[in-house]
Parts: sequence; C-alpha cells; structure tokens
Amino acid sequence: MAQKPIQDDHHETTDHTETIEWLAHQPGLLDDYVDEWVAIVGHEIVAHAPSVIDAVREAKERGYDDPLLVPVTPPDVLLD
Amino acid sequence: MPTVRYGTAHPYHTPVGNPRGVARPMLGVRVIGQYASREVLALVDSGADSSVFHVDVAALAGIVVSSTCRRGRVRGVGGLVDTYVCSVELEIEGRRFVAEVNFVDDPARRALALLGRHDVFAQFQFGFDQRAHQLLVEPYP
Repeated sequence: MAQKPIQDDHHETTDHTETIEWLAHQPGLLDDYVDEWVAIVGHEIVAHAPSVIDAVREAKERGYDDPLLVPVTPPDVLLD
Repeated sequence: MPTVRYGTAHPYHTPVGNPRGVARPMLGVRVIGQYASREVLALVDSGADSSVFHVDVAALAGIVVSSTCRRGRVRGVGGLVDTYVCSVELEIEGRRFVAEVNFVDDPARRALALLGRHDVFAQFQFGFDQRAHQLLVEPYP
C-alpha cells in the first residue's frame, strides 16, 4: 500500500555536492548498512534505517533537516 | 562522427564491499514536491528505460502518489513490479526539469533509486569511463 505524504516543514535545502564527492572516496564506508538508507550530513552518518522515512525522521530528531539520502544496495552485480 | 566535450567528471561510488565492491556511477538528484524536496544519491542506469525510486521517496517530497499519479509497471530481472508513474520535478547538477518517474511500492526493494534514460538522459549526455571509474556529464544546451 502506498505511503501517505509526509508532513514536512523544511524548505531550506542543503548543497550536498561536497558530501557526494567525499563519499565517492570512502570505499566500504557503508558496509554495515546494506539494504538500508543512510542519511549523511557533511562527512557524518547521522541516521540509517531500512525505511528512508525512518532515516529522515531519525536525522530530524538529531537536528538535521535535509541530509543526503543514500540507498545502500548490495555489492552483488546488478542486472537491472 | 559526433564528439562530446564533457564538462564534469564524477568518480564512481563504492559504498559497499571494499576492496572488492562494485564501483557504480551515481549522481545526486533532488526530488521536488510542492512543499518539500529530498536529495538522493541515485545510480545512473543506462540500461533502465525510466527512473525508479521507492515510493517512500515520493512521500518524503510530499507527492501524493495515489491521487496525482497513474498506475504502471516496470520489468526487471525479478519480474514485473507495480509502480506509480508520476510527473515529478527533479534537480540534477543544478538543472531542474520535469521527469516521468516510477515509484515502486515494494518492501523488498526499499533501497532503490536509479536514473533511467527517459527524461534524465534527455537532459544530459553521459559518458562512462569504466577504466578510470568516472561518470562524465554534459548538459544538453
């Protein structure tokens, strides 16, 4: 069943360009989070959960409104 | 023979499986709803016809899939999957455009975000430098 939209009061957006570039040079950083979503701010993992909604909620509770959201797919070869 | 002069090169990502993980071309994409937006790191998938995200990403961006999207299906190696097909604003590399995105409501595929050819590849020319593990990007004029 489809999720209902989340009430979200954040309008300010964060530029994650530097975080994405940094993450590309951290091989294996997310080994412990396979099949989860990881929320990253700057160079810090601020939350993680199987559900991206829960990861965002956890990040907000820690004071981070607009983290970069990274889906951690397994290292197996993807065919689709 | 046409040639492309790429303006940007992004290193592939290997977030899992060091040192034998699979390096993948990924880009930040902001999924924009009416009142909110979320930035997701997504796989650039030249083998995918359209972009696909888990439906929770739509919910976070405030997109009401049940009332604003039509039902669809995508086929992968695992078979057919039901989706919500939505016209959504995306922002990639500072360029904002409307794309038709499939949102998958499947608990078994939660960690899912990929950018397919339809719409996204109409906005950017991509090159895949596999030896250097670099994604090359040039926006169309």
